[in-house]
Amino acid sequence: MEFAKLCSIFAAGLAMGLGAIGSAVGEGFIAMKAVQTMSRQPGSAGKIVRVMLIGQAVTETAAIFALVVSLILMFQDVTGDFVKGFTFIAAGIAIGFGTIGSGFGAGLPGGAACEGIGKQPENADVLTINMLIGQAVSQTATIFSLTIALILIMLEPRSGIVKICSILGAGCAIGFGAIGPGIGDGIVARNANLAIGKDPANMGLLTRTMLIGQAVTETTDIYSMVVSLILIFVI
Amino acid sequence: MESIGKVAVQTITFLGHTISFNPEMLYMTWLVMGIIIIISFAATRRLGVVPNKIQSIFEIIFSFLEEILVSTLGKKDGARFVPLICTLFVFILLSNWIGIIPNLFGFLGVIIALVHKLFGGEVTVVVQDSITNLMITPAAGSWYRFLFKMPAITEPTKYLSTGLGLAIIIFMVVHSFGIRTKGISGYFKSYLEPLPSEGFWLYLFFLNPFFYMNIISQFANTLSHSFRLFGNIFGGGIIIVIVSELLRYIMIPVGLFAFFGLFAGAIQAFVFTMLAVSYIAQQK
Amino acid sequence: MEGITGQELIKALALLAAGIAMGFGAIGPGIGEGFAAGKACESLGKRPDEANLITRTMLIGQAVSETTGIYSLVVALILIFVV
Repeated sequence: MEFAKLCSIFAAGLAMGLGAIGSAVGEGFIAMKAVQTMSRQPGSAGKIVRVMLIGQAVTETAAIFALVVSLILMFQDVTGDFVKGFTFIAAGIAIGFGTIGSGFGAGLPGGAACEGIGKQPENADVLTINMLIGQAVSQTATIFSLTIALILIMLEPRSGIVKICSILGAGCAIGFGAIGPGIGDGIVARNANLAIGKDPANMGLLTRTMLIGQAVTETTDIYSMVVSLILIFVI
Repeated sequence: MESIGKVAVQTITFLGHTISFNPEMLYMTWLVMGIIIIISFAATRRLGVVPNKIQSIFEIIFSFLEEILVSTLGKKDGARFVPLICTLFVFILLSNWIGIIPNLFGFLGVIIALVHKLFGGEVTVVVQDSITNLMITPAAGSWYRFLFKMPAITEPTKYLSTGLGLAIIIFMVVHSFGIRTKGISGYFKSYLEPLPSEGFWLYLFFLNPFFYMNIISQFANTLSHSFRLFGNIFGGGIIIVIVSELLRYIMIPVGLFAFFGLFAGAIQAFVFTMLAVSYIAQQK
Repeated sequence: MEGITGQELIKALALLAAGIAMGFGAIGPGIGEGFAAGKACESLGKRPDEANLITRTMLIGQAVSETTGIYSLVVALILIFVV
């Protein structure tokens, strides 16, 4: 078997194996909070289950991104030399590690929404909307990783050890760099949702502050993306 | 898929200097500007106490941003920045949303070319690898050829230059506002924080590590400000292109367009504007 | 593959190191900034009338937490362009 094909299969495993971690933990967190809340408030079980399922569906987005990259890596026709193989490994690292943070982070606001509904079941709609906004913005880290991973898969690099190392470096930068901001975004959205659950009157102010806080939290991920793009296109 | 990461470059020679630019970005920026000018002209033609539809949309945006500005910057300074911030928001919002319009000119051109071929016209049709991936080239002299040369409608914010240009405008506004409110010495002293800036500390500023950190962080702010907009819109565009390619353009991924085009576009326009407001507020 | 010179090896490893520096350097500030903004949201829920003060403090706190991320960026850029 060719080296490049070998690398793409290896990278497919890397992408899906690592990419499942974050979402699985995040979904488990939502289910845990939902069950805890239900044991205290069995009356609002229906609403809690509905929010839990919506939240879990969005949390899964990160793992679905990893699945898409994994499928592309497995089924595409690989043509290319020795160096091309390393772009696949770098793409696998980028999306595999990159989904851990967002997957876990998207779970946190979902759990908070379940808790909030347990306290005041009439806030379910407000909480669901804020949870969805918070979760969608938490996915930004994964979207950056996915972008870099797709660029890496399509890349036709020149040969040489310098290029190999720069491609691997680009994958490491965006892959590991997305872990922290993903979790951080989730923490912001979780606390905003908890606060809305206590007093839904402040929703406009809290959603606004949450968005600014999440945008600033993502800054280091943007630095990682800048470094990755430089390593891919400039070097 | 080969087009990813490549931008069109057009070069003109002006007074002996070669200037190269990205034509797609330039045309789309002018298109967005034209749309905004026409809509706002139409909206302000017949202002009424009971607003009509366009006027009420503008009034909602205006009063929402004005309230935020007045509450963060105070009544006098807040009112001064309302035009800049509102224009910024409307421009970025429309720039992010314009990408969901499909490539109408190309579509129209393909339909006309196929009808032309049906009646015996001179059109080359090359089937690439499946029936959904046709390469249609009209003959050289046909009148509808210009439809194939029109640039596809894309978001101008998809290119880094738009975001960087807007971020540099904000950078200049922020720092001129800082110099105006604090005075030159106060502005300079703000770079020495958190160390004290009185007495001999002021003269030893070059030994102060925070001086260099503060300068770097100002530039890093502008860098992240521009790359945040670029990364989100560019990433969304790439994901839509790849998914459409995987679906062979038989189905259009409507959900992805709704998420990346409408939702993420609105969120990023709001975030860019709000970060500009908070950078201005930090200089007070 | 032809032989690799020492100069090339240094350049290659510096690029790899730049990626790893930025990648791991971004983890801590990301979580830390998230804590700052999260607590700001929590206290905003309790005292919505102090929105300005809380937002300003949140942004300053996040800017300071981000410092180590900027160190990583500077180190990565030096490794890419200077080494």
